[in-house]
Amino acid sequence: MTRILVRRLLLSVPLLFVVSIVVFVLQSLIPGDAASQLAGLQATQEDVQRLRRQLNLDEPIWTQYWHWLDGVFHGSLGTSLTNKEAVTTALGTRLPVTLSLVLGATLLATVLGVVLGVISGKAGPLAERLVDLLSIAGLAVPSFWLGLLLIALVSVRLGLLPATGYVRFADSPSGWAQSLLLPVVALGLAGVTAIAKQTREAMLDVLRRPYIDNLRANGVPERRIVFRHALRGAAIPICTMSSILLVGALGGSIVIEQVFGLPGLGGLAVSATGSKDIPVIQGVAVYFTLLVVAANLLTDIAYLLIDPRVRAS
Amino acid sequence: MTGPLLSIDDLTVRYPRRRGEPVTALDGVSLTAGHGRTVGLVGESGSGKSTLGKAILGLVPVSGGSITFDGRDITRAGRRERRELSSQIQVVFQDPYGSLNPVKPIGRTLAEPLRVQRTLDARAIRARVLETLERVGLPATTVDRYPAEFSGGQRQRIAIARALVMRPRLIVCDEPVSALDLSLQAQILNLFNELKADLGVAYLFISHDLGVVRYLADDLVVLYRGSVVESGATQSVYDRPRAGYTRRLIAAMPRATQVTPHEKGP
Repeated sequence: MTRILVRRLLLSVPLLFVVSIVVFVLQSLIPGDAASQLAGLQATQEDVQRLRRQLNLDEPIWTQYWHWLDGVFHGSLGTSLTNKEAVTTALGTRLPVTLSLVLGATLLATVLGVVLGVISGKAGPLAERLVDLLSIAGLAVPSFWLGLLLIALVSVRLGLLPATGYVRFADSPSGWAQSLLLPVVALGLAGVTAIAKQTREAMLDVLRRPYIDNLRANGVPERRIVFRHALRGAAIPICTMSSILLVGALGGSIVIEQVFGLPGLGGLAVSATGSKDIPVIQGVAVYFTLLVVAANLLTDIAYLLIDPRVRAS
Repeated sequence: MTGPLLSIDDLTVRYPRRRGEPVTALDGVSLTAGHGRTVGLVGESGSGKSTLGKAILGLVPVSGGSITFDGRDITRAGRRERRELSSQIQVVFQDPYGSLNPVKPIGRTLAEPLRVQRTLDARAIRARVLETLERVGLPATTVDRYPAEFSGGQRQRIAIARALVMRPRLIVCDEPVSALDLSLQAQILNLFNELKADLGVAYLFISHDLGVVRYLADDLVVLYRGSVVESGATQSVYDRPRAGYTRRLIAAMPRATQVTPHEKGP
């Protein structure tokens, strides 16, 4: 079991390499650079050149990459070109925001999805149709639009929750929850129906097995059959779906953070791309990659905990 | 009163279809099984023999007729009544792969029906499980292992142990050996016979294989398209089949042919 996990971790090292190189090359293809952005519109050509030299932007791209990589091996992701803040500090303050948003959305989708899935699986064909219909709607509605709709309805019309902004958990747990509720719903709702459908199909598949007949013949209560056996058997596909949603939510968080004005990694990525702040872009890419690696690792661990056959193999 | 252990009277089961007429799987079937007797139920696929087993276990809705177990009407017994009955009636299914929960250790699977009964404490349940495993010829270490670690024959022993752990008086065996290869079939059939002699348990033995049924059954019931076409003591049905369908079934049995010396070659 630990051998599988160690192998996964080792495989993620080359992955990080590749991602960092790809991001580096891609951003170098965007016209303009940080120096011209920083110098502003009034600056002379010479000012820009001087700034460019100061920031080592006149070096070839591979030399620049090497400098960055060298920094990484010494535990530093560099400093922001725009405000000289250490990248790790900038990312550190924003990571909790994105994590709360993404984990919250995944949790919401999973819990609500499983509940809906069980209900629709046991409540007959009408509930089944309803979940199918909702899941098509869930796939079709873009999360940013849903976000805007929620703001218009809940915040503006009803005045129940703040439209934008973020409150740190340490400052006020209830304020934190209030500031996250709408973005989490906007990001997670599309996943609810995906999980519900997955739960229902996997559960109905288990319920057709002969060992379920055996339990029924023994008068085992249906509740116990559903929760102890059918859901347990459906846990692996649900887990897979959740981890796919988690990774998808990382991407979706960039848009949602913009809509709700949350100071997360996504917002940083967008502003850093605009100002061509290479170290920050690199840092965000590395963090996102690490999050994906962590998500996959967690999924593997969950598989091992759920299914003894995975443990044995 | 010593009536029959199981008595089925004019039983009809119809499966509803989404469109059109419902399918009649069983049409006025009657049979009885005595205490400690083995009744063989034979017929081709689709003859309704598995449906009959499921009706006794309460797994299909009964449209008409009655099922009486030990003088008690169980035709439409609910989940609670089934829980009581589970210490009387048990089942062994055909598929040794699908009949055990793959993600539960064997010990848990065997203990589950005892646990929902709430008559024994954890220690007594464990003792019962170990004793039963030993009875079917499996080591005590089986309890902590998972179905995937066992072969088809071993799994069928486990399935039999799960039935026996409740100390039932009737076991419905639905094609319990047809998924096994021949040498294993013989072992499992012998186990059934031993258990019958030792524990006095009655079987309703469902099979499409007349050879298997002939080996085990005291009485024979032949089903054809949802109706009983013939019933009686196994040997007499076998020797003097009255229904044409039974004769065809017997004629279709594979026979061991003697190989004469000259056929072996020089």
